Amino acid sequence: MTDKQQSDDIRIKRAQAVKTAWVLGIIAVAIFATFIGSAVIGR
Amino acid sequence: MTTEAIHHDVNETHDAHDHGDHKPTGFLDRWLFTTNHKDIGTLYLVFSLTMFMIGGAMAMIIRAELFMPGLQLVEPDFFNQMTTMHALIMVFGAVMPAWVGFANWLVPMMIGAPDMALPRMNNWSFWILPFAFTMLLSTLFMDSGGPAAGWTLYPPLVLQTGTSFAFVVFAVHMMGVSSIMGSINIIATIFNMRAPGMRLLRMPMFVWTWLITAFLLIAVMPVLAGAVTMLLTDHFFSTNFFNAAGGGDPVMFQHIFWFFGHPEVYIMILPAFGVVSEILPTFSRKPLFGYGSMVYATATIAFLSFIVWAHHMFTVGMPLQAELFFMYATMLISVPTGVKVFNWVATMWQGSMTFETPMLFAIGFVVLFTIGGLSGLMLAITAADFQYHDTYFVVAHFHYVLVPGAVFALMAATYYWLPKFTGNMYSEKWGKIHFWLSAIFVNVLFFPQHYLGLAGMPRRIPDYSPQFADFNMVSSIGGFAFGATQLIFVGIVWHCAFRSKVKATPKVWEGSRGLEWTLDSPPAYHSFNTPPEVTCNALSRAD
Repeated sequence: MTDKQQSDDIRIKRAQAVKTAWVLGIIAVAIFATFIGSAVIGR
Repeated sequence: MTTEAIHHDVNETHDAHDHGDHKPTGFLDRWLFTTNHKDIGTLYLVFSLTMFMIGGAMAMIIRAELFMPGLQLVEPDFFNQMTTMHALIMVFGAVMPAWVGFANWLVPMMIGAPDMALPRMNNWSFWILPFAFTMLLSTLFMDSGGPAAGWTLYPPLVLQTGTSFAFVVFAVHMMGVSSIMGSINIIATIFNMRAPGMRLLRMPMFVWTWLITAFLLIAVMPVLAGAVTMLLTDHFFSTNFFNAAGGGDPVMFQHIFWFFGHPEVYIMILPAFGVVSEILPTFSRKPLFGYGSMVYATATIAFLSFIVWAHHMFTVGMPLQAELFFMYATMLISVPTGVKVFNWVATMWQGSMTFETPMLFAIGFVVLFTIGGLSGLMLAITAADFQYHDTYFVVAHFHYVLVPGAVFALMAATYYWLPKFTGNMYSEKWGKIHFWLSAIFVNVLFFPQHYLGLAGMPRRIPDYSPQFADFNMVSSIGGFAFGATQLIFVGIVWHCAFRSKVKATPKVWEGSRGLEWTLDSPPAYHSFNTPPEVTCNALSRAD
């Protein structure tokens, strides 16, 4: 379905989902950076 | 109340059907640019089946070479490339995408959502994969050959791979990005898109197991990405993370890899637990026994999977206290796993059981996965592991967990939901033939490998001493027969999708419960545009 066909309820839920996705994405990048960073510092 | 709730939803579905079936007409619009969760689910499943065939063909080469002692068919280095690529393809290309495919199809329908929360990212998650695996497979045709150090990619051996190693690392990165984006989408969907009344503890077990799996993926895929990035810089940019001559530590790679690798095992098996928890109640015509304990057991297994990684490397020379910690922590996993097996058996107990093909595969899963679990318990014993380590006993163990475990659950899920996906029934006769041949030959293939391991045959070798000949021959015959049997499966799926004249009803199975069964078979292209109201536990597996 196109963006325009979405109900307001779904639009609100999706906006919230985007925030959830950003938080999870930042956590994933942080884990990646932590492991590489700790290996570099440990060396 | 149950019937009323379901009928209410069916009526809503028919309303939605009228204005919900706007499929894109062009081929590229439908499949390349699709943002529809059902289409993307189908793409994942077709991709996974293709990878199963490629990975399976590599397994046939391995078993053909091991049919007799001596070098028969391939060069040792190519044999090692086959063992490595077989594992990488089966883990990252076949089993994981298959579960993501089922999640795409089922999670929105099970929670009453119209689609995944982030449909465009969903499209991208899938379309990264064909490029990643094309790149990985292309290394076999390069001068330096494919990776040949095993899927664990241990340095320093893996650093002897030629320039094609960069392709391997980049392919692993792309698989990781795909998995992480898929997981983010699944979590965002479950947390934000549930229908009114679909509380967390009303969700079907498949949704629960996938929610926990998605968190595992987000936690560990970046760790694998970090590990292979350091391998890449060691190989091409003269760093010494894992190079002992430069002050690095190859054992550190093993710690980092298995911090990813052990949860990865549960990433492949937790959705299988969810599927079996859906199927057994349906064909026992009873609610799932101990729904709450199943959820908590799944979460406990996921937590424990982070603190047991070093049981894969008992022989590297860890302090005794560390070995004991990892031994006991590993054994602890058998407690929540035992809760699950108990609950599955209790679900069937005094149920009105029937044995359609999905049920056969689910019961086969419970029995044979438990055998794999028991050999895992043997491997957890530190002192004993010094004997088993890097032998065929380990190969037998993880193949019991992954083939009659994860793969049987995938077969069960396919037979269970394929009528819902396609609107057609598959051939029950051929499904049962497929099950019985698979169940027999999977044991002929893998059970003798326990004996080979206990007798001391090392894994990842193309040639072996003559005393291992008989069991290897039996194992190879089982392998060829098991491989041929899976061609029946391909035929059944193809027939069901394109040729079957027997139409599936919306509910398909007499004992099935859950929102997906309130939709037509096949469901409309856009389902649940109006969210259903979940007013009781009757639409979920909880009771």
